[in-house]
Amino acid sequence: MPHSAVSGVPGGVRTEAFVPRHRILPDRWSGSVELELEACRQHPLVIGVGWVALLEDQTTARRRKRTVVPRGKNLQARMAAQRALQQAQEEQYEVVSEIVRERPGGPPCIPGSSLKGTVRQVYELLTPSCEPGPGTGCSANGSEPEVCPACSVFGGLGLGSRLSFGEGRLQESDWKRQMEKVQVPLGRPPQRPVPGTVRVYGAGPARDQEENLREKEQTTWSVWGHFRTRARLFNLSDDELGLVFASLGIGWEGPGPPLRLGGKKYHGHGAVVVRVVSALRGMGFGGREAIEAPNDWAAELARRALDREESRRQVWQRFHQALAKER
Amino acid sequence: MDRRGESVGDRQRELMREAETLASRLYRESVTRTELEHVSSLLFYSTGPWRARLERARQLTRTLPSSWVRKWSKQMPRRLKALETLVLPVLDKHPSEPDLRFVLGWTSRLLHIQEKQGKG
Repeated sequence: MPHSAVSGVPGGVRTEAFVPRHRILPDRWSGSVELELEACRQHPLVIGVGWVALLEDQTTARRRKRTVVPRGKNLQARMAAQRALQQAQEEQYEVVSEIVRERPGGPPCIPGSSLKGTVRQVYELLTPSCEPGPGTGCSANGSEPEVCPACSVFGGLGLGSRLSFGEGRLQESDWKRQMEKVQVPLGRPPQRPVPGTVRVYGAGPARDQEENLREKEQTTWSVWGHFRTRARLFNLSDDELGLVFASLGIGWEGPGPPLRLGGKKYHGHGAVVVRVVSALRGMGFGGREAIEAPNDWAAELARRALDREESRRQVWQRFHQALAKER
Repeated sequence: MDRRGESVGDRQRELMREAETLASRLYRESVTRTELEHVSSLLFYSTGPWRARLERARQLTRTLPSSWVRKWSKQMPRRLKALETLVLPVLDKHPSEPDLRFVLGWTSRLLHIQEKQGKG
């Protein structure tokens, strides 16, 4: 699988002071941001649920209905018709990987956890944060624990999150036209990751070790279109919020997608463009203030956060260059 | 008491025993909860009348061993074949939704517990 190992901001894991979660601090950002995620048809989204479904192929179903086993003494004709009927019965059903939906049989959606995980991965690259895993990562013991920048925003073991994403709902009402069955290569166990780096897949199709295109064996649903979701913020500093927007790819003007989301990324799927549609700043006691020109505001915050450290901007650019790679 | 003079408790005990037997047989064949979920999610998380869902689940159980799913891992063909031979008779034996919900739900839980105990 073609991928680039992108390393994060150099330096050891930095720890930050505890930010309270029980009251709104006036000098920080609290409130909600409505995001629009646009998935294009060339690199659609594939977010699987882990099980497969059975689809009835209408063409073979019709063929099966048309096939009539003739009565009479012509044994050869009867056997041929019987064989055709059996073959049509076998071909009638197709096994397809199921994707995440709002409800059984309903429109597809983007789970908030998928988006949060993707954003956290980029955020970890841009800040000297821990690598959470079994037995590793920050642990928030004590009344006012010190944790790494990513755990401080996204939460960790025993520590609540200050940023959450809601479910991304498809905006188009005729959602059945926004879905397509695609053939993709089967997922294989990934190679051992290089410590301190993140595996970033480019826009090209999956290739094997000898650089040949991999065989497409799996059938899955893919979806494209405009999704809307809401992010809830709690006591985020200017720098933290700017880095969250930068992690969402807001402000990226180079080639390639600003963000890649969901499954089958190794086959170029899941390219997403994120825009801020509206933003409300909570002032405490129910007071709220709407932000004017929210997308420009988000891009400006992202630019300032990236300009604060030169290494951050370099990592951010390396990450997006890797996302845009065709091979 | 129901029409056959059998109490609900007796019926559930019988179904529970069946779930235990199925879970231990599936565990012996290294079938995990993930493989069983293909069938149970088609039965209980899809739309349409119960008869159609049951027929589709039967069809899926028969189709899986020859589909692309077998290429997911080296052990997968054997597991899917075992799923077919062990689960298909249960689908045929209990065509009602509450019974299958009970048997497959408990089989899934017991299989998970056995996997955890096996690893521990």
